[in-house]
Amino acid sequence: MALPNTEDTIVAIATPPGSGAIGVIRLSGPKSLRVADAIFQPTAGGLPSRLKANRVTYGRIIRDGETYDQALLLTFHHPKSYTGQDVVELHTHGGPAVLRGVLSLCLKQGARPAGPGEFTLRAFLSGKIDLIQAESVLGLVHAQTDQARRQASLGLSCILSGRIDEIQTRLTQVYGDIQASLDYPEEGVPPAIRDCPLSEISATLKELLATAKAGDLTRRGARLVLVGKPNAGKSSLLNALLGFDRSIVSEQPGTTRDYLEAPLDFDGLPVTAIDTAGIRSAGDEVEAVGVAASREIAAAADLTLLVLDRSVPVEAGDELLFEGLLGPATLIVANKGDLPAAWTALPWTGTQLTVSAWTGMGLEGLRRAVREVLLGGVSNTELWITVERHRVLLEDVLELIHRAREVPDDLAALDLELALQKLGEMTGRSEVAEETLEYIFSQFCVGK
Amino acid sequence: MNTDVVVVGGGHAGIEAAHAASRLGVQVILVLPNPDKIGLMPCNPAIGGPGKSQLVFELTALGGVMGHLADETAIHTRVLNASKGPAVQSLRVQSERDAYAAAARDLVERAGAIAIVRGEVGALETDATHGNRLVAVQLTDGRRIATRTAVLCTGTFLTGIVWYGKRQREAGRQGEPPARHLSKSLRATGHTLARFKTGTPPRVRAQSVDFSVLNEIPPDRPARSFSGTPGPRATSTPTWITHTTRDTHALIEANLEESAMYAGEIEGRGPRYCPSIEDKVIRFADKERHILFVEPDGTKTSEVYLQGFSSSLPPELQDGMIRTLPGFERAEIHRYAYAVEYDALDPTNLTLSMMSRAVPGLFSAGQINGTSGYEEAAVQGLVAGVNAVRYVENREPTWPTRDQGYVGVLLDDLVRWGIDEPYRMLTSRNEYRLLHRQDNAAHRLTDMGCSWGLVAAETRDAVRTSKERVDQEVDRLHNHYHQGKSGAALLCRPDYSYETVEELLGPSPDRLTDGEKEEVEILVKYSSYIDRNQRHLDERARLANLRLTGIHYPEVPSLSSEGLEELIRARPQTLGAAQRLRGVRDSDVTALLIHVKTRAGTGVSRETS
Repeated sequence: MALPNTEDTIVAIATPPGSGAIGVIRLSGPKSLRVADAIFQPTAGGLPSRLKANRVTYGRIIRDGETYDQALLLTFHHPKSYTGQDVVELHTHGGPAVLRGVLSLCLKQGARPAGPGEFTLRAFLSGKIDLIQAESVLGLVHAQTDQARRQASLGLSCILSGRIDEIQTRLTQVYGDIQASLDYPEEGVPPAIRDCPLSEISATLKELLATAKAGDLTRRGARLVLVGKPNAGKSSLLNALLGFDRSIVSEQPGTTRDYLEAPLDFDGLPVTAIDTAGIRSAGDEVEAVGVAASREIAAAADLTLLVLDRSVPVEAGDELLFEGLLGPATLIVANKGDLPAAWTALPWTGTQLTVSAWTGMGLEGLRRAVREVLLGGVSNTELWITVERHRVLLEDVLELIHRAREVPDDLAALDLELALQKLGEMTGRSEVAEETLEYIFSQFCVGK
Repeated sequence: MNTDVVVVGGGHAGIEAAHAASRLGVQVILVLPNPDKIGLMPCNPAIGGPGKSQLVFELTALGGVMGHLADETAIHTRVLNASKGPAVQSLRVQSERDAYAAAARDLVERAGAIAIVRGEVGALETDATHGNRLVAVQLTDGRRIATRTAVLCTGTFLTGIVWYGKRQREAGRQGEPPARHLSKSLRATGHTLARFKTGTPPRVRAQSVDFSVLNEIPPDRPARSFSGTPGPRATSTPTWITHTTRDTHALIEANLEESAMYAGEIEGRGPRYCPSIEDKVIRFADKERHILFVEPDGTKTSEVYLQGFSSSLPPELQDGMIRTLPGFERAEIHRYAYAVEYDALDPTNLTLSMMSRAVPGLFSAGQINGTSGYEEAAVQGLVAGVNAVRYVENREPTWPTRDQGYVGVLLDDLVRWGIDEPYRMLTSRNEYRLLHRQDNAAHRLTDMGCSWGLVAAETRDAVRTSKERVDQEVDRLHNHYHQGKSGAALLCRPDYSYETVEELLGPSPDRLTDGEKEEVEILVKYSSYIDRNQRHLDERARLANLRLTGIHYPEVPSLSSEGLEELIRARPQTLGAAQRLRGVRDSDVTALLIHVKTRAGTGVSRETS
């Protein structure tokens, strides 16, 4: 696989499949305006290529000399366009047949069907946007929650690129100092001068990376698993959480497995809550299968809620039953807090919260705790690392800086050189491997 | 008169050019105004230092003489940057100034095929009907030497002006007349000249310095060398360190307008990397002191050299300035610091073999090409001398490439980028400095020196054998274990040296020299870095072969305007050739690469070879 040609003219339907009020056909490339000339007639007369750019023009799409559809035309002239090339948008009626027809008219005029992300790829290759912005465009297109949208929007407005540039500038300074001390041993620049700025840069990187988990969860959604004995109130708790959220999405019964999944929005964080079958007693042969299944699901969870009924006493063997579920990513939820308590504190370690799914007591605290455990105290408003590629590159940079502090100066300079290269890869200002570009742009839909 | 190669000038470039050409069996005439000045060290009496020592090791491997001359006449040797890692460890050899010049002159005079002609070259004679090729040089006294090639190694002599404060006089160097006519002839034959400036510090009467208060730097014991054979007197003297004081800085600041440089009277560009003391005081105003090196001119010296104190302030001020330095309170200056301004040839007028693009057969080397430093001059002299002979013999030119070491970096930088200030070699100019170390210079370049005809086959074979010993020992360290850990793994521990590991594993079956042990240690200890450097170099070499055909450059996005202009002008055949063009930046190369790969989808481009 190679990157596609960027010098011919591409066309795609930019609006989603199906019927809509309007549909948009987008063209980019040197022949865009000529294609428009051939298929579009402004009502006021003249040729689309002669019209002023960045204006809306009303007219007709012509096929075989007849009006095919009435449409609006938008032209953008190179280099002032999304892709940096001549770009034409045709806003037609939104029926699939109309859009397919206009598309095939464009193809007849010599345009080529665009592949996924090709418009944005062209924008990147022509230097209109950097790679972080391109990835943010992708993030915006795919954003399911408001937080995902906010983070993508921060990326698109160069906030992250700016932070990276700033780190790069500071690192370049240290790199320059080291080089100078190598070339001028006489001038005796003390090696210590690099240690302080390097630890500051490390701290900045660590701060950014601390948001990567939140970013990762925002991107893929967190998996929250509810386990517990039957009648502990797991389903009620799930319903309460859903109800509280008021963003009811249909519960989908597991088809072959014995659990339910429901998507929740936790203050912008997409969470898939999984309600497992109740675990009865460890001794029962048949139940053992269910226990194993629940444990397997819990093992793949970002957070497990161990739901207990506080109104009934803890039985001998319960601890053994839940063994393996208790860990740093487990919250112990004492449900039915509205009923008289059969116990107050458990001998097991872990954060314990008392709630009542019935009255809603403690639910707000539970939500806060869930968010706290999952996001590690990272706030919604700060900049998050939401793209896996960025996390990997930043971790590499951190590691290189760490190493640079351990080795002789000339090797340190090489480490910092590589670190700078990696920061450049992040924004795409340094050379980026072709495979990386292919990967990034293949995730886009056609037409973006 | 009639000859194969004329070498103009007997400095460090001229010596290498004349020596190499004569060794290759052609007739050489060395033209210079004063044979007594052959091999003079007009600046500090030392060879080497960061970036420069790597050049000298490479020069030695290629068959040059500077390293041998420096070793023979060494009175102090020291490895600089010893703690800063293998890539930048650099040897500096202090030589006895007079002995160095005597040895150089002896070498030139003993080479049978070098005739010395006293005189000044005034003009070049070219043949317009044969592509302006060189046919003769004319001396200012009317004599004419018919020759197909000439190597200009005129140093700072082209229209030279020496400045003491604001007083100036026409001179190529203190007390020596400049070359007044050659600049005009160079311009007339299609060359561009620039005006550069450099300076040299004062020489102080040794008896007037109180060495007891100076910080003494002992020589390395055992002594080190470029050639493998340290000279007999290489540990005979220390050097010393002193520094500027508040008083020095105050004096300089108060009298700046006395400096021709600061009064704007010198138009030439000075070397940023070898600044005058005025420059340092003004540019680094927050530094309280600047380190100065006190270097002896010889063992029974009457004069010391004050490295780091070059100045264009007037002599009457220099006496006061120098007496503000610790140990120099009663110092007497033998020879005052001065600045010299001279014409330099724009090296973009040259090809990588150091031959003029405008006048085939005309070569130039050293300070005339805008470089600064003996070592930089010497390697250009060698390359020019070898290629002058090749030109005479109608053979293809030859030079080490950027991927092969510092000499290649120097040639590439000069020709591709040109320069706007005197060019000094720095380790930071070499992207592959971890591969191009002084310890492996012989292993890298002796084959080339042998193919040029300057290095004996026995020497080459000995170097190959040595390389094999090193490789075998590296293998052994990887395959022999001590308590479950390989020798290589042990050597990678920060506190382990080759000696420690050798003790644990037992000695190598081959007896390794100290140099070889050092190389083994570096190759193993820093293998991850070396491999990374090597992979990068290989990748670049691979991409360099990418064909650039049928590209319409104005359509390539993100090209810099200079890059675009140069690409359109030069129409390089490959990405590697584009990379070597002047004005084409790395970002341009990246843009080209993306363009080539995305063009026409299926990839019209295919790598050659």
